[in-house]
Parts: sequence; C-alpha cells; structure tokens
Amino acid sequence: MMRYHHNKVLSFLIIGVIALALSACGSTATNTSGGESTSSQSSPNTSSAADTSTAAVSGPIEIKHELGTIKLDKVPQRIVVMEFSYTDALIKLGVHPIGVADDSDPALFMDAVREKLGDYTSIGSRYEPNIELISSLQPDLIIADLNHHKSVYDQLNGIAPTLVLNDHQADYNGMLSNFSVIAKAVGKEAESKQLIQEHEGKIKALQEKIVNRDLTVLPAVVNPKGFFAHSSHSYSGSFITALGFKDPVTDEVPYPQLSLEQLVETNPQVLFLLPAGDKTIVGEWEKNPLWQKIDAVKNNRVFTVDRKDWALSRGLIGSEKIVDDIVKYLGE
Amino acid sequence: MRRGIALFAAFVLLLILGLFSLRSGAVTVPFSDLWSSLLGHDTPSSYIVLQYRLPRVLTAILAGSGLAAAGVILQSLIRNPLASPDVIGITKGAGFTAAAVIFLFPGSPSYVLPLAAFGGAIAAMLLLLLLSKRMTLSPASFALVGVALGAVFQAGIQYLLVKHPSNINMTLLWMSGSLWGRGWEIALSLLPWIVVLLPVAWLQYRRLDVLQLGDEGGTALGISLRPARIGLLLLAVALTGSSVAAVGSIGFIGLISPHIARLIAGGRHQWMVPLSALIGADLLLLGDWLGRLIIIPREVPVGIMTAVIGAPYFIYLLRRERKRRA
Repeated sequence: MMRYHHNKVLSFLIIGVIALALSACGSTATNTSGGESTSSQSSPNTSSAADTSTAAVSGPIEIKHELGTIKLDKVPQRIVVMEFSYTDALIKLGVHPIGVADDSDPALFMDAVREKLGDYTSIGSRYEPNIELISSLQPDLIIADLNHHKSVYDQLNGIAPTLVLNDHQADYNGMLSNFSVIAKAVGKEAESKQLIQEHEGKIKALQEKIVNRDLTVLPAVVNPKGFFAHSSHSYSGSFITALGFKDPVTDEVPYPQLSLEQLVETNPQVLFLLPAGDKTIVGEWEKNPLWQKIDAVKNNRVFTVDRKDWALSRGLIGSEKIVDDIVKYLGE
Repeated sequence: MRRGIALFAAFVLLLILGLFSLRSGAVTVPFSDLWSSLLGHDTPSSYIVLQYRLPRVLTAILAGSGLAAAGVILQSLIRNPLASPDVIGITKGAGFTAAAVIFLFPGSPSYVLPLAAFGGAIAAMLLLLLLSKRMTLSPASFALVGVALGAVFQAGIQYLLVKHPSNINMTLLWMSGSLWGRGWEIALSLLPWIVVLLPVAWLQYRRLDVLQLGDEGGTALGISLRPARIGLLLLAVALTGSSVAAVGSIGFIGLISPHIARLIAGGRHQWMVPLSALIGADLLLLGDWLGRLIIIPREVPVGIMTAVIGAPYFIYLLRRERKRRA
C-alpha cells in the first residue's frame, strides 16, 4: 500500500516536472511565435489625444492616455520605454531612451534601431519589466503598454509620469496615433507631422512602383511548431491592407494558426515568411506536394523577411522597412 | 519544546528572509539606507523599499502562509498526503476564470483579474460540493471529483491558450504564479483574509486531528462529519482563493509545507497549522528573493522557483520516509 502511494507521488511529481518544462518551453516558444498581438481596435483615448495635439506646445504638456492624464512641466529627458514600438518611435524622433524593456536580448531590435540607440539600460522583460531598475534610473517619463502593465500603473506612476498606450492591440493606424502621442510627450509634435508626411510619401512611392496591387499577400510567423498567419487584424497584416493589398485570410483573429491544408485553401498569391528560429515547419511542408499547389509557391513569390522588422519593431522605422522589403521583392 | 523551537526558528527565518528580500534585488539597498527608509526618512531607495519591495514581501508572506494552511486542512480532510489546493481543482478553477479574463476581456481594469480568480475558486468548490454530495462527502470522493474537476478546468485553460495564442505569455506568467509588481493594493486586500482565517484555521486543530483518524474514529469521538467537512473545505477554499487571487496559481507551496511541518513537529495540528503557515511564507519569500536575483534584470516567476526548490526536497522527503518505513 505504502509503495503504491509512493509511486503515485513520484508519478505526480514527474508529471509536474514535465508540465513545468512544457510550460517553460511554451512561454519561450510563444515569445517567438504568434507573440505580437493585436486587434483592429485602436483606443479612442489616444486618437482623440492625437487629434487635439495642435494645442499649445509651450508650457506644460498635458496628455490624456488610457489610464489617466499626465502633465509634463518640461520636455522629458530620461525616458524609459517598455515596448519595441516605443523605442522605434523615439529613435525616429531622434530621442534616446535611457531604459528599454528588451527582454534582455538586444538582438531583438531591428538593426536600424539598434545602431542609433546608443547606450541604454535593459530593464528586462517586456511583460514584467524590472520596476526597481526603472526607479533607480530616475526617469522623468515612462511609456507603458495598457495590456501588459495596467496592474502596475500606480507603482510606475509613483516613479515618474507614466504614459499608458494600447500598443499590444494596436494595428497600423493605432501605431500611427500612438506615435503622435509619444511625439507630443517628448515635445516633438511638429517634427512628427513632418515625419508622418515623409512616411506617407514612401508609401506613395511604393504604390507608384507596384501598380498592380490586386494581390493577396500574407505575412506569417513560422516556427518549428506552426504557421501563424498575420491577418488584417494584426499589425503587419493591417499595414499590408493599408498599402492596398488584400488579406487572403479574412479572419477576426489576429494570428490564426493555419495547417498546410488551410493555407492551401486560403491560397495567398504572395507569402512573406517571418521565421523564428532556424528550422521551421515550412521546411517540412516544402516536401509535401500540397505546398506546390499554393499560388505563391507556383509563381515563386515566397519571400523570407526579418521578424524583427515586420512584427517586433512596430513603428515608422519598422513599417518603412516593410515597404522597402515589399518593393524589393514585388517591384518590377 | 522542540516544536516551540521549530516555530521560533521558522519565524526568525521569516524575518531574515524578509530583510534580505528588502535589501537585495536588481538594486542593492545598503542596510543603513534600509533602516532609515523603514523609519520613514527619505533616502534614494525609499521608493524601492517602501512602495515596491515591502508590499511584495508582505504579499509573499500572506499568500505563502495562506496556501500552506489550506494544504494542511485539505491533507487532513482528504486523509491523503498528496492533497493540496491544486489537486482538488480549486486553483485550476481560479486559473480558468483568470485565463478567461486575460483572453476574453483584455481591456478590463486590473482589479478584475483577482476578483475573477477568487470567484473561480469558489465556483470550483461549489461544483465540488455539488458533485460529491451524493457520495456522502467522503474523502475519496472529494479527491476523485476534485481531480476530475481540475482536469476539466485545465482543458478549458488549454482551449483558451490554443484559441488565443497572442496573449499566452501573460497567462503563463499568471498561472505559474508571480509576485512581480504586487503593490500595497494587493497586499492590503489579502491582509484581512489571512489575518482572520489563519487563527480560525488554527482553532480547528482538534477537528483536524480527529478527521485524520478516519470516519469511524471521527463519529465515535462525537464529530458530525458533514458540517465539519464543509466548514473546513470552505476555510481551505477561502485561504486558497484569496492567496491565488493575489499571486496567481502557485502550486507547490500547499503540498510541501505541510510535509515539512509534519516532519519537524509531528502530526498534531495544534503545531502543524502555524508551523506549516510559517514554512509556506518562508518558501515563498525564498523563492521570490532568488527569482529576482538569478537573471537580473529579468525575473524568474516565484511559482517556478518554489517548484525548483521544492521538488528535489520533496523527493528527498519521500525517500527518507520510505527508508524509515521499510
């Protein structure tokens, strides 16, 4: 009887350890898989803040955000950011954050951002940034994400005025309005307007180069476990449709995971693969005769691009790189 | 005497671990600064100590002791050393509702998550009572129904995870249990629960002793089993639910703390309840402290740390017990 008990205990333990290991794998893998999330809703608060941004620039800056209002008496100099898209926005504006939540992995910045970033202090995970370190950096502005950091808003706000934006769920337009809010917070409203104009110019240039945009284009993160399509409800998918291409998936879910059969059924005419890891599921799929049925494969329009540019650095720098990539591969 | 010393030692350990938790982390606060911060003087590290680490330490102590006490109650109630709040599905119920909030209502205010988790624990208990009622609430039926319920909730969690891959990280962090960013709000909302329920749990020590003897023994000694069981189950669920709502579904504490306490102080609940609560608090503090230190600036969630510390020790305990009985 006792022995039986012990075996049971042991097997429980073993199951527990396996479950632990699995959940650990799961968390790292998902970090690199469907990870960057979205849905089409961009916050009403931030967009209204962007609309009213023509107000006075001199004097204290007041910005309404997702969880309150911040008042900045002077232009912040020591800024801590908790998402790659915020880093992208600041670098585009020529402002250098002193602390960045980079998941302790500088390789996650896209090259163009990292080159200009200079020295900064890593404050750890984007999901659980190190609040002690943030406090020790004595920032005068913190930019946080609604979804990930709302539970610590009070603690962050106790350290420095904290601007909470909805980045996690932002699509391309949401990103643009967040950019304007950030620009306002760092006192660079005029520059931001010019930058957005330039940005729109680049998009026009692309549209002139690629006249026939009647194509279904699908970006997808691929890892060893699966194929995660980025529908028009995701950030990169929404940008693709904003450029005038079509989304073959038309799914409400931002990152539907597709099987090979489902992919053949959606039949994208262009496929941009964002691999996470060296080996992905596509390596196996290529051996399957079904793979050849996809229009994108038939017409040699499967391209591999960098996940950092397309899915992580969700900002003007990143989206302009997407434009460059598309022109490079689809331009005549 | 020996038990008194053990209790005292566990308490001193708690103070020491608490002090070190306040002192070290990504930023080391010298003891001199620590004292003056605690005494209310303004130092460069006042914010870190008073607004960040102190509520976190307090939350760890409260949740650790709550989970451990719930473990003691359940192990006696079910008469099985494997029983813990996880095994009978309570934490899984809390986990399911928490995951539902994270996935389905990502825009909800931050206080919704703990409330939902607590509600999930209560719902799991009600289901457990309803389903095992026809089986006379016997320990075996509690355990079996609990395991089955837990499996159903787990399936629900898995479904949500598969359906919404975009928010997985948040959910996994919550489910492994984390003390990151737990501020005064959380600590102060957990405080009354534990402060009231722990003494109540201790006052039940005679019942807990008797229930362990088995149904006949209990009846013979004049305990009406059903009300006693339901009352104790409620107590365990309230302790678990409030703790889990604050820190996420940390599993191992409720299983291992009673075992350590039993090894030191024997099976009498008069000693086991307080000692196990102190040990649970010690373990959670230790896990959180180490978790904050080993991969600065990132953190290892405390649930993973306690499992890493606890699992080998648990195996050691089992081997030792087996040798003793062989």
